[in-house]
Amino acid sequence: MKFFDVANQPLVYVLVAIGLVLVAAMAVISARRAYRRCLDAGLSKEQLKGVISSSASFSVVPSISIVIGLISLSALIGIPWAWWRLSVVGSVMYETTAANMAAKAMGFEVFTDAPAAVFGAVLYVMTVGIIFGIVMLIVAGKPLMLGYAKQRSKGSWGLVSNSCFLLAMFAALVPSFFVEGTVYILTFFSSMLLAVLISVIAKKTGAKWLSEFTLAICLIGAMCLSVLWAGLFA
Amino acid sequence: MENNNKKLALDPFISWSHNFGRAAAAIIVVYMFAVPTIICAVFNCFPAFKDVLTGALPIIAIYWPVAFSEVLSYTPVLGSSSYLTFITGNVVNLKLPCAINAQKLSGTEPNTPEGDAVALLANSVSSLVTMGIIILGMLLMIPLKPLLETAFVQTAVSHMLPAMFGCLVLGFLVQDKGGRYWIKNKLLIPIVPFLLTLLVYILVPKAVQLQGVMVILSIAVCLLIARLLWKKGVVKAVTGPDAKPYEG
Repeated sequence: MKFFDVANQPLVYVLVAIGLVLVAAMAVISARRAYRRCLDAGLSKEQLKGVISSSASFSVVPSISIVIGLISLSALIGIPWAWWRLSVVGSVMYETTAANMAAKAMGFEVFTDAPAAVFGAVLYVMTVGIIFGIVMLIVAGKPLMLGYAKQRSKGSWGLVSNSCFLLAMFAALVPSFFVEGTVYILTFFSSMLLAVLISVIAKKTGAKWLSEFTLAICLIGAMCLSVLWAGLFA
Repeated sequence: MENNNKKLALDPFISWSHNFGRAAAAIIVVYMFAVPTIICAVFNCFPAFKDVLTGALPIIAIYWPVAFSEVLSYTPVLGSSSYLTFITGNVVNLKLPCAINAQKLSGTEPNTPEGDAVALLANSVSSLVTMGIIILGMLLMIPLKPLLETAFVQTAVSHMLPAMFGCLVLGFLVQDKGGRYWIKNKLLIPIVPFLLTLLVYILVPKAVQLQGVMVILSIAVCLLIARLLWKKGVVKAVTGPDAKPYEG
């Protein structure tokens, strides 16, 4: 048997579908429990509706980028395994790189003529490559997070130090846009400007619901503007 | 203080969240290895150990340290929602912004039971939406392919991260003086790490690929600067209109 004779077998689809049903069940259970905890904490149903609609609307565009990754990845390793790898752990960037690295390490550019055992190797290689983070979370996640929460409870300094994590994350991630070129920088500031505009419109019109969709609108708007900036400056 | 810590550690939701999250993650890890094993057994295509090793080593060398730094960097924001977030993946480009946005919208803070609950709710919804869209994308792959491969879509998608973070960062540049407390002069904290990171990226462009490591270093520098500024009284936590008492 060849690589793709196995890669596109119905059994692979079935196994992937079972795994995804498991993950979906975990998400549903988590959402229900989290929703109840939010209500207990005094958040209103209206606020939670806002969180849900904002999260759902924001997730659409990044998910479409994952679908684009699915198209290129499925050409390399078949549809079902690409579907699984892009739905569980990992990221669209990791999976594509990992699949290409695995191919090259085993002496292939593409797997079209590769024997079925190479597909077996790809399955294990991509799994082993991405497993570390989740195993680390199982082992060290709880003490780590309780440590952060304990630190936060240490009065004024605890609150100040707690705010450092987000600030530090932005301080490390944002400079990467500044070295990627003019289009990246303009896109970043376009998104900021759109957020200001939405905030002004929401305040002037009293349309509070707009704030729930700020991130989604800024994301789509700035991505569209990036095409304009690329046309002008790239 | 001791009471406060005990209460924090024993919050039933946090406790449940860790237990459920760890069990769910363990199940997924087992299943992730079960799938290749079942496929290889059924189709008699077990690879030679040497082939797996040859393919895995370069990936392990790059991605295990990245994964290590990502867990350390992003769990302070995600809290106990980290398990589901890491199980469903796409952390930086989807789940982390989603959690930050949800906490901002609801006025909750990371590392609190309600902040964790909001992040978990947001990322559960996000995960379900993503799974649904991937299924749709798979079913409609043939008709969608020409559209998704247009230059417009490709260019727009390649600029997704700055488009996402511009809006998110703005939310943190504007000092919100509502809620339980706010941090006076907090924007003084990230200036130095921001400039240092920028310098590193300019001098060593490949460091951009190691953002998880850069986040850890940035956390260390931010904490150091915050501590200095806090001791001098420049940076401090100020109680807001919805204040709850805290020690300090």
